[in-house]
Amino acid sequence: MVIDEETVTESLHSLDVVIAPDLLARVRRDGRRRLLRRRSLVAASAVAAGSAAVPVTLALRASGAADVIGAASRGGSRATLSELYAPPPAPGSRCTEGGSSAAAPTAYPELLLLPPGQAVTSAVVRAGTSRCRAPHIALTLLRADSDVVTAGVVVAGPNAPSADEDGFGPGSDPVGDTGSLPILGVAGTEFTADGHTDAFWTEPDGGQWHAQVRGLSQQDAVALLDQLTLDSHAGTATIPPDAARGWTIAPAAVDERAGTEGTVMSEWVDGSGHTVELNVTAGPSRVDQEAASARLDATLVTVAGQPGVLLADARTATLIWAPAHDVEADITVNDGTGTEVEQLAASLALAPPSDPRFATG
Amino acid sequence: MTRRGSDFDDFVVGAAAGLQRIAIALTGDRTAAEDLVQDVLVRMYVAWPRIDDPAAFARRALINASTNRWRLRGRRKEQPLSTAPDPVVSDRSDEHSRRDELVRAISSLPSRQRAVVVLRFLQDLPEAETAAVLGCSVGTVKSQTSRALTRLRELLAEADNRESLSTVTRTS
Repeated sequence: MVIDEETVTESLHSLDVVIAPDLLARVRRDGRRRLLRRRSLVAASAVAAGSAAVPVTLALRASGAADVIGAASRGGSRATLSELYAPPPAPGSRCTEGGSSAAAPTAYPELLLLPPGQAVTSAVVRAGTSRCRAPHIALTLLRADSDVVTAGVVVAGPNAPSADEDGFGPGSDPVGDTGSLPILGVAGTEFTADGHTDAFWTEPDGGQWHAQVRGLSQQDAVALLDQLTLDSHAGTATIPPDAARGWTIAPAAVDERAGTEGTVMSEWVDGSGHTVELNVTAGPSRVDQEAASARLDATLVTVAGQPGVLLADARTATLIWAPAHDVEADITVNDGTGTEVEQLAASLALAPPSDPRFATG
Repeated sequence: MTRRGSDFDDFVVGAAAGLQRIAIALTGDRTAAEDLVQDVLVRMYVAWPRIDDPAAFARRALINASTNRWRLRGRRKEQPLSTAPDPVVSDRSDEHSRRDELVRAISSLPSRQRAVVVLRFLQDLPEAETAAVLGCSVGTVKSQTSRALTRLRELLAEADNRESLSTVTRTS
């Protein structure tokens, strides 16, 4: 066989391929989950529309960090950033998608939400392990018009991923407007597309910060970030009253935990023939962060008295809410509407661990 | 291109086979190729509202991902063709067996050469477009193409030698 351009072309074109029939379903499922997990983290209660904008200093909540600070204070010196905060997830480490194993329903009775009287395709209880902690959320701002989110800011640091680590490396996204506007006097890198900006910068103290801004131009986003006062050691971001005017400041975020946590994943077909997916996970709510950074239309809603955010596109409707303290749930109705998913979420009830539907996993 | 609706589904349905073919050429392994394609499509789902040219995005993402060591879990080490895993061409006639070896040899090329071969000979991109995708000059594309073809000839000759030695050993 002569190896030339023609031979190579012919050989490559002769490759036979078989596409798995469920490829599209798997891609959509994993894509939705990644969208929901990507901006994980917190804010435990509803955003009070129109609340007064005031400077905020959020409490340091990183797991274990308080002890480290205390120890450092006793020693008369400040702890290093690496002592205070877990490092960001390493590229490709898929921290939030770590290994999981089947668990008994009795292990997580607070997560056993199911639609009463509805047969399910599957209902699986899993104990998942997250190998590393998500970045600390220092500040979340929201601007809404009649509960429809029009702009939002989520500032994470000092253990945020760099641009490369967050998937904005060279050649990763050949679209959008890449900027290099300085932020707070240091070099910044901004990626803007479709009204969303991801901004990355490193403070002189080594703190790595990341902001997701929706609803502002790149210049306006950077101008707003320039108003912040950051303290990498305290993990705080503050904004002066003038800059905060018109924004609602979300309640302080609780850091996502590393370690083992429970998840219940259920799926069923509703009366309209729509496939419904429900995930209920132990951990802090991230409703405000989802609303502030979502790349879908986001509407602030209430589900059984609890705050939620409805994310809808032409194909699916997803609702994220906190059905109980330290429990977060997301429900997606494929080909469904926002109204449908809200009604479904409100109809869910805790099932007993002995419910035979949990044996369908 | 702002919604993850039927336009995303249409893209996946229409492009999946082509993307899988690229991934097989880049990895030389069907399982790794399937993982790679799914991973890229999931990334595209997340980024869909920001993607203007899905085909270009997917092509670029596949090439970038295939050159990231972690994505292929360290399997980029060059290995003897005779010990390579799953066949990538189904027909087992001699000619097709040879093509099978050639495709696996392509997957063992250095990343830049592999990308050039895939873009030029599978995607049928002209040299100028290949250069644009890879962010290099047309001259680099030409030189990498030449080196890739030379290296492919060497790899297949080495495979022939191993096969000959194996035959001699068996008959002696």
